[in-house]
Amino acid sequence: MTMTLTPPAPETTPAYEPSSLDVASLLGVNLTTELSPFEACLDPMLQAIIANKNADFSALSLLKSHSAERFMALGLPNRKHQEAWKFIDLKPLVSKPLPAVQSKLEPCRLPYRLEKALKLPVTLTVCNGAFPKDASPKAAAPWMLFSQLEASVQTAFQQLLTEKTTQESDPFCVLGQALAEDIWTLDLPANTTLEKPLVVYVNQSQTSMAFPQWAVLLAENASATVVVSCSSDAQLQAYIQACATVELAKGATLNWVYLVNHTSENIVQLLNTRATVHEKAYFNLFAVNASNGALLRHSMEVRLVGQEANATLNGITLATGKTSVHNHVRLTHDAENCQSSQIFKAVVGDEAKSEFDGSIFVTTNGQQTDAKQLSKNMLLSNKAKAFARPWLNIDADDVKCSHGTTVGQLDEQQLFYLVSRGISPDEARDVLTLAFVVDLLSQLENVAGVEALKAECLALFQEKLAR
Amino acid sequence: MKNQTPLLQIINLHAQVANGGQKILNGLNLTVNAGEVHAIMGPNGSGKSTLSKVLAGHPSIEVTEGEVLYKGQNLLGLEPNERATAGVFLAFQYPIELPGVNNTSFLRMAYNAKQKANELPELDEAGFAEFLKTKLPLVEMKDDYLHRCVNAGFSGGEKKRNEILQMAVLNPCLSILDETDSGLDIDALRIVANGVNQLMSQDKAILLVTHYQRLLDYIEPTFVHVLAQGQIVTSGDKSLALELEEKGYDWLLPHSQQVEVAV
Repeated sequence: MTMTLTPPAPETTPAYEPSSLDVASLLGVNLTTELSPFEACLDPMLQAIIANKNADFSALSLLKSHSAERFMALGLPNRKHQEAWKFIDLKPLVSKPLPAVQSKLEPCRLPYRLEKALKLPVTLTVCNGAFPKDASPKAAAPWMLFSQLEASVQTAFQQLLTEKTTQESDPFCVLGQALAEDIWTLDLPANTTLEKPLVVYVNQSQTSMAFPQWAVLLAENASATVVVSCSSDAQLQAYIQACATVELAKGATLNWVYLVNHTSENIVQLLNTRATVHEKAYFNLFAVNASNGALLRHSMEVRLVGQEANATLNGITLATGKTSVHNHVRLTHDAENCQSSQIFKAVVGDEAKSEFDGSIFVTTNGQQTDAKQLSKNMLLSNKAKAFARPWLNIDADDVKCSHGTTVGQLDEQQLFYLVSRGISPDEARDVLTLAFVVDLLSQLENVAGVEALKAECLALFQEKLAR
Repeated sequence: MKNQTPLLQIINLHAQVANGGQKILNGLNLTVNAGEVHAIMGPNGSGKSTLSKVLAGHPSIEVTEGEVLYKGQNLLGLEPNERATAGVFLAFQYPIELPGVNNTSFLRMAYNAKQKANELPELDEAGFAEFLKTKLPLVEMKDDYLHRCVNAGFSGGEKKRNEILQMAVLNPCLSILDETDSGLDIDALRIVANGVNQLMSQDKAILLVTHYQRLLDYIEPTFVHVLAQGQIVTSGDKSLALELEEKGYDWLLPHSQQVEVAV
């Protein structure tokens, strides 16, 4: 099926109304007549995007203007009235203006370590939000690389993304799409299996805003593994708004691994993962976060819409310093006989904060659902905070659903046992902290090609704990 | 007296549960020389496990008075890990499970901590694997225990054998075996006792805390002490254990002061 793009009738650009009330409450100051620095910085950019809609009818421009309008309709979130944002302090984001995305590709420090660990070359590098323009798909296998939206088979993606944008309720998700330079697509034909994982490296080396976006379409029985590694240089300030939109056709399998490890404490990264999983398809998300950044929110929305669809969402967070990490999951069972499993573990030290807010929705279509959800948290200091909010919302009557959460500290008896064998108290603490997450990390060994990430993550955690 | 300085000297030791809890040890005195095996027996609540904990430096017990000298040095001034690297080893009555911690890594970490503290060369993974292979037969343990997590899902007997394996790896001068025989069937008891006997030598000493005479059939004590109400009330040779087996502890205790303390 093809969709023709008809130029929309000219219309007046809607005036951008600042969500002044929300910002005022976020900042604790009276801003009723002024835009926050963040909004002031966004305003002209969004206006330009909408204005550009009528001048250029490319798929990307249309999608961007559609997203910009959607953002304006949604406005910035309000902590008082929106449950999902209750524990998120957006101050690090909205109080400081940042330069717009740089279209110039800066030379990036290459992730040698990751390449070495995985023994794989990086497929795609996103530097300061800019994608390489010359990374053209290889003729022999056009789907082997991500391609730019304009260069890929546009129609399917544009239709998918437009539809998603209309339904999207997360303002930052649509904002990212509005401001993105491009959207990178992976279009895998039916019955194709990518033998090796695709490695995407998102690096931030200068103060700016960056909006990396991916759209992934796997046709019937296709399968792929994608590893996305995000890092940044020390001390710089940045806002990264990334989004992955995934559509898995019947029998397709996608493993998606996130490895977020920002060195800088001034990074705000908002991550969105949106997946629709059809019959007998499998979406396996593994998110590892060892970031020092000020704020990281990962919003995951997964819909199981075909019979026997399956989703696994696992997350490990190691939050230290003053980091604030939020994992938000909305998982919907909208077909019979679907399975889902979520395990999120967080180790929180110093003055860091971690939140897990996970909902399982089972619609009336979701008979024979088997859904599990678990959030386990370990607090390493008296000032560390962990919030866990597991929700179940079930409208079907024949389902198996479980959810649970634990919050604890290092076990004194275990610590003494290690110490009584000559191991120093500091080392003993590290050993037990790593032991808390190691069983979940072992699940990476089940994904072909990324087995080495387990050791890499453990090394990363060890370094971070030693700091 | 073989050595000039005893390996362990406990002088008038008083101890209580930390933070002003119940008083458990009331002026305990004990001298242990190298080459000796001392069995500490006594009724429930007499302070046997507390004594083991004090020597290992468990934070739940607080020493209020007295001295403990290890090789002539103040043991109580050392942190628990320093005691271990100095050669003091406690085999736990209830070994702790460490899910997520690989047994071999744990043993290597402990071994290297001791080597490092004594300025001796540490072993890498391969070197340690070789070293460990020589220790396994001591406790008749199979390789697969090493790949599992420390004590996690081990049976009672396997946990105790794992304790003795740690003892073999760390090669301590002073070993305190806290009711290592409890929960063991006869075969496991024999294996554990054989392991301990093979690790014993003239420059080492063992403090054997036990309820039952049976262990002493396998590990022959130089001295047997009866601990009651936080003090050693009587000492003797191996025959004392047999006498206790026959008569119980009652004849040694002043009834009016009998206390029940569970620690």
